[in-house]
Amino acid sequence: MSERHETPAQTVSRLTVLDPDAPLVALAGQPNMGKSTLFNLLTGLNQHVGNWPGKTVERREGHFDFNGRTFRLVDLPGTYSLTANSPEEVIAREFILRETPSVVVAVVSAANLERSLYLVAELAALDAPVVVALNMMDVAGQEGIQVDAHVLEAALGLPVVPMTASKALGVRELLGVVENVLTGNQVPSPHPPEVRLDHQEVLEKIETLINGLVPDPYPENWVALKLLEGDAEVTHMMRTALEPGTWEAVHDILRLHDDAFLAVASGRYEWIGRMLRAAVTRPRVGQIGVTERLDRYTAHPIWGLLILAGILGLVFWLTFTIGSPLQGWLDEQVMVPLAGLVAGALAEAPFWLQGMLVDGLIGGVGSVMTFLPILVIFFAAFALLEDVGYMARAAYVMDNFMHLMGLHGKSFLPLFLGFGCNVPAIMGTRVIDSWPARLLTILIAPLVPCTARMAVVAFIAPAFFGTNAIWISWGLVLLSLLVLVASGALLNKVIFKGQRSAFIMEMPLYHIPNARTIGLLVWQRSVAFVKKAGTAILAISLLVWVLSYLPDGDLNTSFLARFGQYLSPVGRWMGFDWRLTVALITSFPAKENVIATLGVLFGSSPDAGLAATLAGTFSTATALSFLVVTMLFIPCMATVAVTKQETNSWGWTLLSVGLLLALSVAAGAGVYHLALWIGL
Amino acid sequence: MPRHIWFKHHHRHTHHFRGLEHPTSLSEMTVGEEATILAFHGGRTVNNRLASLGFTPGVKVNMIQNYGHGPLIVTVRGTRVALGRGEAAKIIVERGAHE
Repeated sequence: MSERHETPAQTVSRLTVLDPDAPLVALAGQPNMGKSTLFNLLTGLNQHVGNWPGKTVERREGHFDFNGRTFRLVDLPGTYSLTANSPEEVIAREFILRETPSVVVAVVSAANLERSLYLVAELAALDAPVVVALNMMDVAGQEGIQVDAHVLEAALGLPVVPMTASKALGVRELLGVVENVLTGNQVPSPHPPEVRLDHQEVLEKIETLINGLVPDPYPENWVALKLLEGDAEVTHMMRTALEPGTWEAVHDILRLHDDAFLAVASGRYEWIGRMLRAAVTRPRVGQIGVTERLDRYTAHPIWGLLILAGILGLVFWLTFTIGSPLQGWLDEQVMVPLAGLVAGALAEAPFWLQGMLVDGLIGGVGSVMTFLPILVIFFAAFALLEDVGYMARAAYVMDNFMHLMGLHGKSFLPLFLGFGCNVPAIMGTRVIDSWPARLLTILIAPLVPCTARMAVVAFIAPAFFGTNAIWISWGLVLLSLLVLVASGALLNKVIFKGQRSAFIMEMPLYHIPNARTIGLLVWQRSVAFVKKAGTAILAISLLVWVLSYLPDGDLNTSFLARFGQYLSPVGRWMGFDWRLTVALITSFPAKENVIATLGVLFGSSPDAGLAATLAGTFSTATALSFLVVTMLFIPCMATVAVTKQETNSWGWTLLSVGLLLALSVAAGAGVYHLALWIGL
Repeated sequence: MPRHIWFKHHHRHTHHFRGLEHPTSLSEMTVGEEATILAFHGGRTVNNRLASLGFTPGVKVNMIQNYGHGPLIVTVRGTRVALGRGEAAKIIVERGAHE
């Protein structure tokens, strides 16, 4: 282990701002142990959120100073174990084995030591320099659980530091121990758990067979253990690494003992049991108190749904009473004057430059940015509900409903986020643990009506339907959701052959939200959205502007208009003229562009009578059809970009676009002819 | 691929069990009931995930919520875990607790 301290992981070099020789500390822990709170506490805004290479798993890293030394800190994905059940587990263990962090801080909960030590049991077997952060001492105290950190330390053979990250207690002590381990003043020497007695002989047999044949940097006894557990990745690795004859011998043993994963897991829990008996008094007494009482309502099949509906209603109410006026204000008081200012300043500049900056940049990217207040409210509400522990309950009560599409409760959360914006919805599908379920959720997420679409509806519906506009709007939302459920069910049958993924989810204890955690989450998600607006949206906004400008600077005769006219036969199925078709096409950079484009095409601004002009030009049937198509039309470019990013496949991305295109045209044509038939 | 794994150390002294001696599935348990896990019928990944969350043979589980349809909630090793009905049906238990 001493070698490890002398070579503090020069291999990791992705953090550009820092000295690569700064000691590397990794944070490991199960979900709901306060790992993120600790990470945020240590790094504050000195953190960077990205992806693990080649994976759509969030990678957070940052740095902090302690005693005049700068440390790099990497937040490993929260996992229950280190067996290859998901990309997160593989990332966590590969990082520890390949990047050899100087110290691995394992965050465990003093209030739920039995389960949280399971990961420590796995880390101990990896021979990593582990320091145990015994977090949530305050919760443990409230529950009447007493943990003797010294006894635990002696039993584990690892340094144990009691702390309460949410109150910033014990952090200096933790860092002191981290420093001690780094300098070699304290050497973790874990007593790793053993396999349950009845499988020890089998494990030894495998160890003998693979002796000297395990590729670097994997420890042999660890590989033997993972083979016994049936770990897919390690099994694959050893099948390739071993001679066919040797592999055959190993494989025969494994086949005979395909229940061995239970012996391994039981061995770990027996080990944990010994730790608990030594170090914990009154374990598990009063574990559930507030949580149990609250869950009687929040997880109840009827009350739970009502509470969920109430919370969603509140979030919507907040969005529309605070977010929408702010959005309108930003649009009218910031973007419009800004456009005017730039136009004035560039009066002497070539016309194309002015057009590109004013209509392309400010009109495209600017209008997307005005949705930030709405998103911030959504993000804050979500982060709060997540941090309190409510989200697991929402997933739980929606589980039955989601089964209609072969999905389970966890898919509900990202879909709900889609009401704000589809982009975070698709990124939010990362909480879903099975890939088919995640893919299906990504495919149907664009059918959730986002605020931008609702803004278009809010403008057009009153023009045609007056006081009935509110009912039309609700009808459109309902229609979108029906289409969502129907296409989800259909896709599940056709593409995923009706398979259903397992619903296994921890219901964390409710706890008091941490403002810092929520604030940072909102900040990170907002920054991610702004970055997206600054790159992909900027590029496509400019492209659309160029197409609307060339060849002679007049939208009515531009390439875009010609394209619209070319497509107008399709538009006619839905009762559109070419101008509506063009407006729809320009909804691709941002949905609310529809109104701006119509304004340009009809030569009247949205404030000055565009609504009346539209109402005078088109029939009610056309209006209805246009509204329906707007709701269901292809995802906006930001959504398409993030779909490509999250699926890592153009095939699925194009399928997503094609699906919505077909759905919207079919629904539009259907509604138009139905409306004509009933005489609208 | 469904698999059928029985706890190798299945205790024979059934007098420690309260109630029925024959195994049943976790989804059959009623609220407030306690049971001991015997085996899993799920696929490898599901079994592994259950094991890492603390579901191992011999461990006690308590049924917290079960309305006879939809998902259910149990506590295992001090943690509340929600399970889909399908997943719970593949966990074989014996009613009552034994040491």
